[in-house]
Amino acid sequence: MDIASFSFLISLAVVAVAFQVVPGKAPRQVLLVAVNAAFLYPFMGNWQSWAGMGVFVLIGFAMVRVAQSQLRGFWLSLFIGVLVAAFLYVKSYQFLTLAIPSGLLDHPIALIGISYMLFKLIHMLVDGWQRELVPVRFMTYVNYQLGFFTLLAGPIQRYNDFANFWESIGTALPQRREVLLAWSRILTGMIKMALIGGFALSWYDRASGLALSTDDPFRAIAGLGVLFYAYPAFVFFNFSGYTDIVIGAGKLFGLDLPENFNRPYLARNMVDFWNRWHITLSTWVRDYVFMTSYKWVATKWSVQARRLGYLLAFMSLLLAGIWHGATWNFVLFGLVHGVGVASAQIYGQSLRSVVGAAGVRRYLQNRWITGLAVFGTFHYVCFGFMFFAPGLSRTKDILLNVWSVLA
Amino acid sequence: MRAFINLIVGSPKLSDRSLVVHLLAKTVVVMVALVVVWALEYQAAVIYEGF
Repeated sequence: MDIASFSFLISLAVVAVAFQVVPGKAPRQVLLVAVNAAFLYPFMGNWQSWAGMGVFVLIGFAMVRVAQSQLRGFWLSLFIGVLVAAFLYVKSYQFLTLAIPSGLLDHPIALIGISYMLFKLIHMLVDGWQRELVPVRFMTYVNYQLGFFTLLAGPIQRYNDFANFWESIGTALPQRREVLLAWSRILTGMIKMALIGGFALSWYDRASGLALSTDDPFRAIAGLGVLFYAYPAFVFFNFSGYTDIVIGAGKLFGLDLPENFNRPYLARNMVDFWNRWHITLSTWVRDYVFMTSYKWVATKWSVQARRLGYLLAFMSLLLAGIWHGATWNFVLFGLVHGVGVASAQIYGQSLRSVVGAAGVRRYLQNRWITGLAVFGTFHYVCFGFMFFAPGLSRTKDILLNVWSVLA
Repeated sequence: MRAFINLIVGSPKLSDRSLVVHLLAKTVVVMVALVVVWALEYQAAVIYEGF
């Protein structure tokens, strides 16, 4: 079911009313279980996918319980490594063909939302192992992993927050004003996703077609200029619109989902950008990739820890980029963002050592510098999205055609 | 002017009655948008779906 559709709006309204009418905690849980199952069903194309989903959920649950009771760090790391390898296989990442025959990647398993489920599971394993997770119950876990609010594309909610909602479900139903505000946000999301995002995508399609085929220098430049801005606009309005819809939908049921965007195109550098864009992903990467590896590095090589930290920041963003897709263009996307974040960290540190804390304060308060920084960051992000968009060969063909027309 | 902008964006500062007016107007816009999407056969799928 498309999120931006009449059928989704009507179904959501019916379920939200039913949730208010149904009395008591258990019937409300049953209602949401049924809704989650009904939402998941159309995405599961064959029995192999159902089996894969079942194995992932059951083994994940068992391992979280083991991690919570007693598990050595080595076995936890090994299990997470196996999980990631299985994920790469299920998603058929192209670079695996460097190591294994491509025929092995032809399988019928397609698991919707598997990336987000993997993030949630790794979070639970690590937090459970560190004794920071509340006791995990099976039905809570299943609905945390497969809940329709966050199944497709997040936001990545932490388990303790979801468990708090699920196990006290319906005890504090949203009041009339909260319901009105929730619907307002859902409709805002619909406008962003369907209307503005739709127009931005159609502009991108037309501009890339033009830039790919024209032999007129002016039209080539115009096409490249439009597609350069149209695709970032599409991704933002589409994804933040979706996030508005699911956050609003959650509020109809008393579920507070974390925010995912905070005016990302106004970021003043790439570190700032990732603090504002897909926030739940960047905090996950920070907590479970960067900080984990940085702590290890700082223990082993304390003198070089700062410099190695830049390398780890680069690697973390490279991994986040690769996660975005199974094709080579996402490796380039990750490289662009890794270089951007590491450069911003190095620049910030150099600035502090040259002008001192007071100088940095003056620097940050300067409107001209802020304007220039926002302008530069925005265009760097747009450049990165050229690799995100249509596949590497299409991007290359567009750039080659524009180059040959201008040359 | 500020009240008008609040009405357009659906600010939490609005009274309940103004919020209902805002919601009705926004619902009309969404209905039109979804009809356009449907007419153009544009699939409004989530770009991040399935990642």
